[in-house]
Amino acid sequence: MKCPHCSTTIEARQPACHKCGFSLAAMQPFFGDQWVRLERLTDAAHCLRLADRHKAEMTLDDLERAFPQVFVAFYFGSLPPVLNPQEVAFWLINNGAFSTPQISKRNEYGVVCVVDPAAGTVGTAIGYALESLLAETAPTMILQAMVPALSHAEYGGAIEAAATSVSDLLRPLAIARPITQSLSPGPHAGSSAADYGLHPLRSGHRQTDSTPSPSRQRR
Amino acid sequence: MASTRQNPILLALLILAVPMGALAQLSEEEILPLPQWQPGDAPMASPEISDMQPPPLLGLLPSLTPGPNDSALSPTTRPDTILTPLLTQDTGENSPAGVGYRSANLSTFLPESLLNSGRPPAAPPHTPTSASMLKDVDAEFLRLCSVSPASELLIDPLGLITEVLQGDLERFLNFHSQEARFPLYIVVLKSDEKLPADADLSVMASGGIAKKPTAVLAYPIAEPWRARLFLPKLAHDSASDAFLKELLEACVTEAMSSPETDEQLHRFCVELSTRLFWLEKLCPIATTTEKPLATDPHLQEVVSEASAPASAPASLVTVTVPPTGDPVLRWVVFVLCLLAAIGTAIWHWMRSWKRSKARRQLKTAWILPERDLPQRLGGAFSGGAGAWTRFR
Repeated sequence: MKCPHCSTTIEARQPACHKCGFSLAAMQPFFGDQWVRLERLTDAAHCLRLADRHKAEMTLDDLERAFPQVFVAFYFGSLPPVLNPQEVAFWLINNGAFSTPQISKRNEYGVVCVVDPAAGTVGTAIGYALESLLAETAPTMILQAMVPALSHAEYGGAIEAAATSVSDLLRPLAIARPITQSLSPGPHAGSSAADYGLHPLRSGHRQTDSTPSPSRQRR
Repeated sequence: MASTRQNPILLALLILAVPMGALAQLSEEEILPLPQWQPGDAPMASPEISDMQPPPLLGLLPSLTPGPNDSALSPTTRPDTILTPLLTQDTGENSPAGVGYRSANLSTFLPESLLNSGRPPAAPPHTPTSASMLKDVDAEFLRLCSVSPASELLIDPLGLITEVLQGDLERFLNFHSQEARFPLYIVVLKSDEKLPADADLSVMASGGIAKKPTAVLAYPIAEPWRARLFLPKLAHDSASDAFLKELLEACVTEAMSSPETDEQLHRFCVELSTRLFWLEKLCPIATTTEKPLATDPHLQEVVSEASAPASAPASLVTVTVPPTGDPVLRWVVFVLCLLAAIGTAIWHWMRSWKRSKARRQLKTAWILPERDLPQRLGGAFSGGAGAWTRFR
């Protein structure tokens, strides 16, 4: 593992980079210490077309259906000049509450891609769970799959390429299990829509002040 | 009383004298050497001529033609038998119909062209000249072609076609040159001759062929399948190979529908003229800003593969039109169809395989093992594993 800022080798349990002092706390002057809510596709740069967005949503749905533990999120926007996209992705995966269809997904199984169309840079960060499974070159391979589409400003194609690459990398490491669908609820099935991640709007309003946010739940 | 008695005697003598005179006359006629015609003495008409339709000349001789009421004519007076001396140019001295219908006498009051318009005797079938027997036209022929006036569209220095056909063709070609975009020159060759490989068509007709876009037909008499057609480059490039191939085939087929050599040439020219009018429709219309077509001296030959010369003239560009029954072409089409079918099958198989794979994936969940890593750099969910690069 290398430092996202200076590429110095980082040991396990090391709180900050010995060379440059980079850590999550070092990024608070830029983004603060608050959690941020993010969709799977956050287009702050307004570079995604509607058709690309719809297609990317379906691609991500398929990926999350095939890998129930994993999610991939994308952020398109302009970054501070002093930060590279890997640093921003590192901060997002640690401080983001990603709105995925299955709210119970853990950020350790997440892959966050940050694209700055204006600067022409792209970076990625992966969680601990995926880092323990994938090779160290896996993030680079994901970026290599995205670059051809990004170089032609085909951001929808880049999303699909990244999702396909992640799927191809994870499939050999996973165990296939058939999805059983039955109309009769099983013994451990939930008794309300909230058990399936569907929260009633009215009850959600009433419980807003008392219940913690989903990201807090994760933490 | 005496005269009364002599009258019966005279009357009796007179009655006896009449039959005696008749008998004497009969015996005298038997002695005179008058010719006696037998049905077998009449010259037999050839089957070809008997089957022919009456020529237009018969319209001038109504008494000779078989009318609706002439069915009672004897076999010796049937029209075909009567007309045999006329059609076969027999002298008719022994004709049973008399000398009044001989051609020599008809020529006294009918023009020669009409006499010649009758059906000639059936010519022996023409034997196609083998390729090894073909010889190039001599230099004198080419010189005569080159000094032929540009206004003469029919170039026949050897006089191979009849005067009547020559007049008809000249009028026809003049009409074609007035109405069509590309005038048509016809060079008539002997049946065993061909144009040499180094022939320069542009010098023919006193250079009239090179002065403007023209079509040139080199036509060996009695062998229309060896005819060679040269078209202006513009016309040749505008038409497809299939069109040019059909043009040649149609002209040859039309010519071969007649066994007579003159009629073959006439039919060939009429069909070719029609096809040239069609060809004009395919050519782009020349505008005033374009380069004048007359400055393009190049002619391109339209040939079929079967009749392609061994070595085309250097000044001509030969385009080979594959015949319909070319086995190579059929194989190529077959292989292309086979490849298309295989490609379509593979495409369908791949499509169905991808769909089934996607369907299987929808019913399959891939579960990853869970492993814990110690935190780094203060990150609760990620220790900064990743990468970044530039794409621009």
